[in-house]
Amino acid sequence: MLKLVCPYCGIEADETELVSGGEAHLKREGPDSTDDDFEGYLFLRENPKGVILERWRHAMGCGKWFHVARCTVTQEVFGTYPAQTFKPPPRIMEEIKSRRTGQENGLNSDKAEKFS
Amino acid sequence: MAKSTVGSTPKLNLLDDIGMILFRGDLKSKTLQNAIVEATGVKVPVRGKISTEDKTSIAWMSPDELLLILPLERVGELIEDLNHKMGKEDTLIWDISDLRSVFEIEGNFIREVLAKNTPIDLNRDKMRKGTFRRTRFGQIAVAFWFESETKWFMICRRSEAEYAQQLFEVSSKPGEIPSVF
Ligand SMILES: [Zn+2]
Repeated sequence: MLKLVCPYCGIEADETELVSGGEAHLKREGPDSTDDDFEGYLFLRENPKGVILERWRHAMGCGKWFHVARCTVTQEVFGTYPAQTFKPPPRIMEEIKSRRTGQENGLNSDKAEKFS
Repeated sequence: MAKSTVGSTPKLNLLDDIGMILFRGDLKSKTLQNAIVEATGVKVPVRGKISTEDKTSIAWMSPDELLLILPLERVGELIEDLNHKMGKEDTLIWDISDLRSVFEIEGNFIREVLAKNTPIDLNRDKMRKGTFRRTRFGQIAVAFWFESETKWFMICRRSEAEYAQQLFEVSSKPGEIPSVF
């Protein structure tokens, strides 16, 4: 059972009180974008074996969206943070780094660069 | 040794004279805090809590939302007063008395019955007096708080109240309540 601390309520919510919203920090492509970029925005998602940044909603609670850094293999949670941000806060990146030294298990190199 | 729960079934009653006001705004604002205290006599609760004075309670719903729970006949007057006191500050003050239902739960072993249907930690040191916990009860979104061990409250959407009632009744059948907390 996955348990996440809602950064707004400060309470540990169980998976069944939450709704998953998929990959976090997507860049929204508008009418001026290329077909390729728009396709990527709509359909192409990361599916890493390892660290992932995701959106979750505290549906059976405050109703707000928030972000989570967790590992898809071990289910360990590195932390949660509010949704009003374009990238994970330094404390989250440090937490990931301190527990994942090899690139293989950390954020993929594109993402790591984008968020550093 | 576990206590016998036979003959101690808690009862659920729908309170039909309860009014509710949804209040959205910047909870840190001085104007808002003063307006609420002056109009209701109740302080704005901190995160995850409910504060009560006399017949009025105020619950923390989210970082920008409060729920005022009070006798139904006072709702109209209070909304007018709050709107006046908030002046031009950006707020939403809305009568939602018809939108949600409040249940009063009375009796022994209430924690046991709720624990059958909710994932939250209902141990006495976690779910304490003054805690306002939004969670789920079976499949519906609810919130719990209590006045004493034998008097709890549950709030849910009015359209789901029948479900809440039936689920509570089926979970509190005599002889089917374990003694845990
Ligand atoms: Zn929350």
